[in-house]
Amino acid sequence: MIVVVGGGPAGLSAALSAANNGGKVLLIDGYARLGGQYWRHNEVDGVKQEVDSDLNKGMKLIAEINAHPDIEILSSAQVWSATSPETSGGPITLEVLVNGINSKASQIKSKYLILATGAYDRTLPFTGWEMPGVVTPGGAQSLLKGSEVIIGKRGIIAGSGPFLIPVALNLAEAGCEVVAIVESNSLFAWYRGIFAMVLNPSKIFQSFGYLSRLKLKEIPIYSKSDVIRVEGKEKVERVFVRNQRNGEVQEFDVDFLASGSGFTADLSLATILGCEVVMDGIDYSTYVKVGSDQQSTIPGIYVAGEATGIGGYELAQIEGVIAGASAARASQGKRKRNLWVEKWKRARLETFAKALRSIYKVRSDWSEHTSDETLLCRCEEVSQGAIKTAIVDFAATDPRTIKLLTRAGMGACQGRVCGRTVLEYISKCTGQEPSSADAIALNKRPIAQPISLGELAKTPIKESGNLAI
Amino acid sequence: MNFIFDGRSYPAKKGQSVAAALLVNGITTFRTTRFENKPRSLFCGIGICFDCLLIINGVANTRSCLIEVSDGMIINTQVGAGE
Repeated sequence: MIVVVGGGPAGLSAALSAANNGGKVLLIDGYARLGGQYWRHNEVDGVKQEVDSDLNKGMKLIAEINAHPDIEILSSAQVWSATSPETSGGPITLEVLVNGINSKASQIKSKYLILATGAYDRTLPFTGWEMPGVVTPGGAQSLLKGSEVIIGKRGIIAGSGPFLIPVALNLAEAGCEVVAIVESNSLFAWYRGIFAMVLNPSKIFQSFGYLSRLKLKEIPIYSKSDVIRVEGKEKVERVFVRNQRNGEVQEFDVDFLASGSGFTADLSLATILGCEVVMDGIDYSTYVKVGSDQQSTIPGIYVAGEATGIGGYELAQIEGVIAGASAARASQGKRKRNLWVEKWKRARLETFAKALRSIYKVRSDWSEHTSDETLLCRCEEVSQGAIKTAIVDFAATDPRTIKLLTRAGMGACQGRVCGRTVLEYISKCTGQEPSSADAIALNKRPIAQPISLGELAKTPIKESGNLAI
Repeated sequence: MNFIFDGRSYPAKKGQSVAAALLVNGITTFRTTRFENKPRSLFCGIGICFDCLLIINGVANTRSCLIEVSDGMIINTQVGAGE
């Protein structure tokens, strides 16, 4: 059996590819409906939503998976921990909770695992970012795609990256007044990615399509600008936007702000299992190291999609196809297929993803706009000032000591939201570049999802297991 | 379909998340924080950030973005850690 974790573009493609290559597949997904973030869909009041051409690709794939005799699906299931084989060739153990925190824990064992755990938005801090009404672009999108609810009546989409544009368009087309898209990079930096565009002509058409829809909706784009502060009583009422070119600050009256600068890959399970993780020098992002067949440094564990580097749904899908075929062939003792066509497509899309990452480079100088009162860690309400005190007054310089002194990163999200931010701030204060060991250590969470103590107590734990903290 | 939030009944649609059902009814404060008693609401929308925690059918610290609303569901604002 091959277990696939994650029901987004990578996981769905991996499951189908593995099954079509003769494998028996168990697909585990955390949500009630397959599709992941990209193909999130709904059925509000029993009415199926309108399906556009993008979602149609996903719905077709989901239908094929539902009908496949060799794919079993486990939805609303969270993998809260996992253990690698103790001896080579032994099974990988997954600890699974079906239907949330109050449910019964169970174990699933398999020699072959494909991790397709995806990514989540990264939001740079600014004063007031913890206020109700401030969401990530992905949050606004999931509310709309999953529940057909718009986050507010009038708002701003801010941050950096190509994802801001479809989010703004979707909200505007759902009846929301989008007063501005605020992009911290230049809009005209595309020429730097011209080679990548030529390799991927469909992306050029997609960009022009977006631009004409923006014009139609009359949404202005403020490039080289940043949200530096929000204000409001119980929720956001005003957003302040600063132009990097002349330093002018403009005020907008709104009832929401969606802010995000790229994505962070979810590596929780990969790190628990001990897969080698590497750091990207561009923005201290981390991802799982894989070979040409998408296999991680642990034999039998394959990784596909955003967890191997942020690259979008098409790259995620082709990585899933390669991972699925490779794992299925290996599980039957058959020799590897060459997959030349798939690997060429992967290389082409990787070139595009790399170009995008350098065009929309996430700025690390956000602390020019923050103050000592700005929260860096939302869960534990740790301000920038508290972290500064730990560094200046207590002479703490390494992230671990600062975490222990301030509790930054110790809250319920386990540092998923603030981890990279705190690392960057420490680096700014100490003048030292974050080490890759620090960036990788951020992803270590022995327990990946909340579990009740009662269920945890029932789980057999071996002394050599990864749960020994 | 209706749910009860802090003792009052509100309409909801089948298939919506609890977070969506609250927001569409104009409820933006889901919980207040442990230290500063500040309001919090939906942030990441996909179960990562743990900001949208509420007490749902008696269970504290439940991520309202991940749970579908149901008829008669009893939802309460979470104060601090929800104890």
